[in-house]
Amino acid sequence: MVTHLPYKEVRVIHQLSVFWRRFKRSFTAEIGVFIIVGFFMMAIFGPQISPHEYVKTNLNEQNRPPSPEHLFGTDGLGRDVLSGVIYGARISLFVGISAACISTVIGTIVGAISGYYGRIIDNLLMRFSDLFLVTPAYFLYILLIATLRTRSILYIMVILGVTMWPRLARIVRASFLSLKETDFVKAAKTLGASDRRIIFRHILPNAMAPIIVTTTFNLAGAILLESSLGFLGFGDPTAYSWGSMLERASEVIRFAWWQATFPGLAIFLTTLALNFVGDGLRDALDPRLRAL
Amino acid sequence: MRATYILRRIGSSILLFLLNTIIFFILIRMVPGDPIYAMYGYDPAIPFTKEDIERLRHQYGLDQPLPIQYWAWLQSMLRGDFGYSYETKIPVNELLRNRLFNTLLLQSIALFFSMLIGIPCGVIAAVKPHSKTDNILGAFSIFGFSMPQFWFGIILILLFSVYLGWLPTGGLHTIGGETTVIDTIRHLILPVTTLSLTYATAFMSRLTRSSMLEVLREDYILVARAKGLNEKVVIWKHALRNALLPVVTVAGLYLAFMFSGSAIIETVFAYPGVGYLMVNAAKHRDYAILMGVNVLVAIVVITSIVVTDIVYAFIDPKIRYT
Repeated sequence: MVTHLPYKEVRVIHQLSVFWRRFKRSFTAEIGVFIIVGFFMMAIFGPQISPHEYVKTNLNEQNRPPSPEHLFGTDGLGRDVLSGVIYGARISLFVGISAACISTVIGTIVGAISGYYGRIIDNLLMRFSDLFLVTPAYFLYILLIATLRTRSILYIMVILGVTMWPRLARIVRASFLSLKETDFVKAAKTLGASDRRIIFRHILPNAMAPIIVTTTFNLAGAILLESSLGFLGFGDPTAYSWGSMLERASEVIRFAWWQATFPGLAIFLTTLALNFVGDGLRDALDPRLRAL
Repeated sequence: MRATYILRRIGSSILLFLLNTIIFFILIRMVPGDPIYAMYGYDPAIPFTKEDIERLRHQYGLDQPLPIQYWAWLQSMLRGDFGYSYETKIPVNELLRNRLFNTLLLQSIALFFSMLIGIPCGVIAAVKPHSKTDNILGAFSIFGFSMPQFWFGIILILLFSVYLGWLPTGGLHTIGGETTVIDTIRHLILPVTTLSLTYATAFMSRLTRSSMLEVLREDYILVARAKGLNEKVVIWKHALRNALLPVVTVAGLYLAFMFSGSAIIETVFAYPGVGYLMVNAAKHRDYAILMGVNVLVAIVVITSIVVTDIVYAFIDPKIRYT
């Protein structure tokens, strides 16, 4: 005869709600989410909320300081800086997200192959990623951009993407190295699962936490890099990004402070919010990483 | 075991260096337009004839196959000859020597100050992890990581040079003035402040914090406390001394990576260093300088990484020689 143990209803807590509860514990992470959502809204509803049409030049109102009509002043072509900051959110966020996605895909694949197969493949891939790590970032970007025929924002996006992956690859490789020795992976192997299945179904989901966190930090890094390149004069001169606004502003910085101050503030707030979110994500997804 | 590890490490880094130069050599040869135009400029009013270009290409060896060109370049590079600037015809060597000193001066002063501020901050944060102080210091370090360096520099220039008129806007010496120590220090204040208050201090403080957290878990700290030692002595003497080891090694490594940021900071302050030289060379397509800067930076960075690895191998017996 089977005796049933006294049965009590168990409230199932979904993993997501556990994550959310942990994430909310950090005050700064919440502020970060708030700012990020704000900037995304700004990017999506740009044309509706901007007070002036940014692309429209007005040569009667060049380099005007902030006034009720132009809250952030106007630039050298009489364009409204506030509208420029709102339009710029589109390009800057787009560049950041695309570059971060490209680097995440490359970094994850390289790290996974390197960590899973090991030996000579690992050695070759890691030496290759060393090559990117030893070349200082700006030198690499400037050299790469100097060799381009045209300076399109798309190229800059791709260049940022294909140069930012080595750090993530190392992190993914490290998690694969340790996860590959776990019992559940050995069990899957014994059951005859293919390498691809083990990598994507068994190991990768367990290595997601550091990947998500690093992607958030890379997103912040890409936005910062794009604007820095713009400032140095290696951006896309035709794009309306925060970086190219700063490039034009740097020429008149001595008398027109508002043209550099406000786009710079937008960059700072975006990267700050992303870093706050990344920090919160790290604590919520993988508390062990906190000490590092 | 250790000797072979060190030899292998040096060997692989020489390979890395050669690979780096080959890639940049090819990249530069892929540049649109004939290098002759980059050297002599292109004037549509007086176009080069085909014979002119052929003659010049032959004179510079540009008609040779790429591997031969690379071999010739490598040979002269090993003799310490990087050729002449396309634009000013000044030997690249001469340019690099002065600029390297200026960059190292600026970066090491900034590193010193960021360690001076960052290390105590990291210790204070690590003493009570997850406390209010720790969280506030953590938020400040994120501020530092997120601050666009060029923007912070511009704001400082606006405030202290344009409005208050206290400090010069850029450069390393007053033009036409006498080169005095005080004058140089005045020029260094703003760039050093920008560098150390943005990334560097935040980095140092985080590094110290995590290193301290590890050390504070050790048994000898427990012993020191059990002996009844003053908590201040335990933290600042017993723990910090041991926690500083990785911090100092990584600081050496970090100096190399500061080269990367030098492009930004030196452009903001028109500071005559390697970064500014590089940015201007890229704008004028002066490939002789670009290649020289690349070699210089690669040597400094790779050397510091190898030295760090080897120092680690000596200090830390747990390291695996693989």
